[in-house]
Amino acid sequence: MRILVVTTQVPFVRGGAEIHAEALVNALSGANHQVELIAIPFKNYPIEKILDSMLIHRLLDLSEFSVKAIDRIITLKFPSYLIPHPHKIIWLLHQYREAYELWDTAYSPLSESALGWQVRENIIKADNKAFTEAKAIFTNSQNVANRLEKFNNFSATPLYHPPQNANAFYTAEEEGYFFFPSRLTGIKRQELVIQAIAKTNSPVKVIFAGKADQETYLQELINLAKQLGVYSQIKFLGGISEEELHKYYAKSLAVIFPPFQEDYGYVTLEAMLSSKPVITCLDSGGPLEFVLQQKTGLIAEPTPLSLAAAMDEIWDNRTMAKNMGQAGLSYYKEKNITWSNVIEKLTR
Amino acid sequence: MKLNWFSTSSQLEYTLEILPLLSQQVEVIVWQNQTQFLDPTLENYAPVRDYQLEKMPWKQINQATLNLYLLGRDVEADNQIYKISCQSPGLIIYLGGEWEIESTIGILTHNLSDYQRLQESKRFLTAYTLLPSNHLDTYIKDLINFSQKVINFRASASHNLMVQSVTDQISSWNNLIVFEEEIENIAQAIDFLCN
Repeated sequence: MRILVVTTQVPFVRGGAEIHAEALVNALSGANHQVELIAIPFKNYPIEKILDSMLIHRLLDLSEFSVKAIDRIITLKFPSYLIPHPHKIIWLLHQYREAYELWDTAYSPLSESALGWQVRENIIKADNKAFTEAKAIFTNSQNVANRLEKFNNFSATPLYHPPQNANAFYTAEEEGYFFFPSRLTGIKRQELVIQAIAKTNSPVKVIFAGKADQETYLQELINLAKQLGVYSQIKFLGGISEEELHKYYAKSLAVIFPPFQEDYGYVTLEAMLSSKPVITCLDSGGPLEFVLQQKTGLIAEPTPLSLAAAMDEIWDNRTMAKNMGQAGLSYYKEKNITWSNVIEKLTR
Repeated sequence: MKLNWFSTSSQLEYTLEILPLLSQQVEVIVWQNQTQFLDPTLENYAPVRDYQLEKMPWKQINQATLNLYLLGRDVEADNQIYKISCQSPGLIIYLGGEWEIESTIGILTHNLSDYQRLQESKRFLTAYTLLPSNHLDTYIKDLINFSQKVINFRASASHNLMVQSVTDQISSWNNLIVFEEEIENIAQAIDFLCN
């Protein structure tokens, strides 16, 4: 089959979505499909540009090239699914979240704009029309499927996929730290973790890995930690190599991952592959599909106090933590999170 | 329906006349300029919030479904409301004055000749209703109905934003040959996205 995987990308920004798109292309190629990735640049400021970008996508004709039909397109993100095609499959990583579940939160610059309402309504309207064109709609998690049902009244099937180089994760003897790998940005809530450290009864340590979206945010986190007197208990690694990432997972006591409404969250899966328990929050979204309370990790309220209690519990009960980590790995294996399963569904 | 009510002190009497009944039927937030406080009795009928023109609290404003802007004869005083209405188009309640209205979705007026003139321009939704003084029930009903119509119509304003963007781009190129078929494709794409 000749397949185009279509996604949108902010040039020079690389995160989970980019890794996801590349892995999908590799998996399709491995299944003997002729496949290419098309990443269309996306700009969301000033906010009227979002409408331009929607229009650009709608004007694309991917039905055939060189008089050879494109058998299907697989679109991943807003607004790539607006592209018309007679056999369009949507595997939704997320919609334009600022127009949906983030609208009334601190994470939606769209809602802080004079034309916010207008652009928001248009996004929702266009999304609804595009979804009716799709031959099938999958999502990367139940959380994203739930949002789609709630806001757009469309049903979708969650389709889990493994994290990058899933086979490379391993476990080792823990060395007494919580690990929090993620971009440093407000919605991942590193700030909440630092506030929680100040409320713990134990001398917990947290290692953060990941680049800051904005350097000012890193400085804010450092200032907060100093102000709360916990700076000596944290460490920022910045961007690290794959090998280092695997090592930090392997030697951690547990992984802490309390983002706000994460779509899917590779971190949870990577922790499970490293046999580590995960501490997450009730409003963290995707991770809640994998963290079973008191079995594969702990689920806290999104407050410093509740998160601190969860950290203390793990810190003081190392055997329990180890057992939870092992249960996490078993649970991952039960879920059939494989690329072959994904490809079978997307090309059916 | 939740309405933002933008008024200056020059329209205070009008606001005081309408707000008690309007706020019983829909949720209303009254917005006042931080430097020009309105009558404190307004708080008996609806929450009153402050804004600064230089730093508009759009996040709070966007919690409502529609912005209503009162523009009257006191051009100097109401100019601030006019500026806000240009930034975030909504429903203008036009009570007179010389205003060059470019950016709005709907206009409600109490003057028949204004209504006819505005309607002829075919650029916005227009409505006419009697002054509230002796017809308050009818007025409130008309206002709520018209607000709903403006809300329903609002996405078309995004249509205009897209059309504007495309025509701006095309007109910025010199000697561009514009193909009718391509224009038709663009029009279809915009229709798909907005209608």
